[in-house]
Amino acid sequence: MSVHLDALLDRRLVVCVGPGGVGKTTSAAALALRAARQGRRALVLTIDPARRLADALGLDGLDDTIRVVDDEPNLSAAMLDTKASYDALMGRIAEPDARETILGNRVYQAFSKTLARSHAYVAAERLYDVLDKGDHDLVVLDTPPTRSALEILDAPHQLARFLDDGVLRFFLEPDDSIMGSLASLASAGGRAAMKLLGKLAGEEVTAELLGFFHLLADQREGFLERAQSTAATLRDPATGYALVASTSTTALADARALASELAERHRTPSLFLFNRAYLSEPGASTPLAGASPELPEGELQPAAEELRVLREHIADTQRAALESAARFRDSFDPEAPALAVAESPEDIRTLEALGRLLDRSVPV
Amino acid sequence: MTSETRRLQLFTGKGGVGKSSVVAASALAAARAGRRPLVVELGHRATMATVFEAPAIGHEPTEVAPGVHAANIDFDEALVDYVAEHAKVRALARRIVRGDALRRFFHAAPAVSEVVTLRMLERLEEATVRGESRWDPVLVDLDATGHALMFLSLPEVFADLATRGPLARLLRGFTALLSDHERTALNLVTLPDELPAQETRELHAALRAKGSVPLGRLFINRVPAPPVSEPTRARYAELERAGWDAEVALARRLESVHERATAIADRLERELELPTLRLPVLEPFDLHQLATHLGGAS
Repeated sequence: MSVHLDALLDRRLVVCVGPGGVGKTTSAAALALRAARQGRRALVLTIDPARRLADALGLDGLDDTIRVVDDEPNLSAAMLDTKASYDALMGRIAEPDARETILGNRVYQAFSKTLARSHAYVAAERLYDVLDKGDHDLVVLDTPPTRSALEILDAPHQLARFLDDGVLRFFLEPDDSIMGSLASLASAGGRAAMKLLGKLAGEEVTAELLGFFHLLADQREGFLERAQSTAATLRDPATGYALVASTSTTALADARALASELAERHRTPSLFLFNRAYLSEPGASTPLAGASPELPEGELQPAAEELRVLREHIADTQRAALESAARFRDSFDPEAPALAVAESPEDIRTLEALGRLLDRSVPV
Repeated sequence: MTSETRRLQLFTGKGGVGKSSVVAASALAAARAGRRPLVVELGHRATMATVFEAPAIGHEPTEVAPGVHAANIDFDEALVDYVAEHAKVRALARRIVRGDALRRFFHAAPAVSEVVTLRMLERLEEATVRGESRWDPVLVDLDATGHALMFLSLPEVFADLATRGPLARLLRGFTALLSDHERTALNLVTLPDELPAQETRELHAALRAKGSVPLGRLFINRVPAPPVSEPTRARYAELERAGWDAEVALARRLESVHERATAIADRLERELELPTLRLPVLEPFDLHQLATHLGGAS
């Protein structure tokens, strides 16, 4: 088991992807903690952790500052916060006076608020920042619990494309100074598009949008460099992808869709992690087996029979679940390492509990 | 008037709580009651085809089960619809939207997909089927918890930005629809588990803070039944003495799972004060059986 995990944790960046409700955030934290306890400086970038996990990691959820976890000097954690990250980004790449203008632009404000897609840009951006600083040997990145999680892989590229000559030049004359004026459009296509936008969204919005484009155009170099660097890191074979799922039919179906999308982006999971895959044998970490003692005679028999059936049912169900996990892995790569993790008998509310989580597991 | 009779039924909940199954089963229950349900899922997901065991679901509503139609709102198509409303000629709208630069812009620009999607929902809510009856209800499987809030926040996000013009008019229309207690209900789907329950609690608080959103029902999915009968529970000590301690330990553990789930469900129901429906664990899963559980709901 440890061989699988340690090969994964030997990397510089591990991206955890998987459907919602399978304990992905907890897995990301447990992986980072494991690396930290092996002496590596590890950082987990989480998205919306459960209150108890956040408490265990010492995250108060108020901002996205990277903090060293109490009692775990090698482990740092941060939560991704969209608005704060955008503002910080603008602070880093823009000149002070431009920064004020950007933060005041209403399209920018709308953009940086809680819009779905923004998450991927922010994650990509934070990633650039932490990798660039080089304060950590390993970064474990949690992703949003939807199939759009993989937007993180597309975001740098998409942003780069958006900022690339084509789009901005379509809307703007490079040295144009008449901000917000519809007369400032470069090409005939852009003029038509702006006219259309004016019709669709109103001239007020369009003018503000144009202003936003101007601001972006000025910051283009900084954006592009960062976007390209992040995209390259995510494509780098040294970056690991942990596909986190459970053994439920729906989770496996969602995980399959995710894995296919990963494959389309030429990435294969470096590790399959199946959470809550089994109940362990009391006092052990292996899956519960089916054999009960011989049935007692007499009036205790019906009660014993009920427990025997219960045990057998659970053992059968989880055996089938582990088999479906193995088939799932085999359908992608029979050689790929995979771990089934037991249902935790305790709440994960302390670092100790988090540290024990991955110990209760078996190879698939 | 109970919330079920409202025509726009939005469903939200954390990923993995079985939201799509609840939406699908609600649609089946509505069809059994003689209504004309339309299930709407948004964009890239293709969950409904799996849930209904139907062929791929496209942008246009198709029948996926007796009396149940489903559509998957495709962003590009919805954008063409949206632009066509203003540009009059659909072919022209398509050309504009498909144009490379503008398309890239629409894909990266803030809130375009949300505005376009909401407009689509509004149109579906207004639309008549074969010129006679309307879809009833339109059941929308929202992406995740954050998504619902985002839709509801759109008018707010744009409040300072779009004060007049077509976008402002649209946003006013959304606000009117989304806050209409006779047309719309936002249903919450969750599990009797710490994380989903907490998220539901937070979402509920955030929605209450917004004030105007008409909440529908709370669905607590997969509430486990007691694992062991009462007479057997009474005999645990004897069973342990007879060498059945591992089985008793297992039974106790499953009981604690059941008790914990029940406690979480009780607390959530008490705190949220919404009409609540607890749904059982179905093994194997059966959509029609789930619909039967939903059909008996008040």
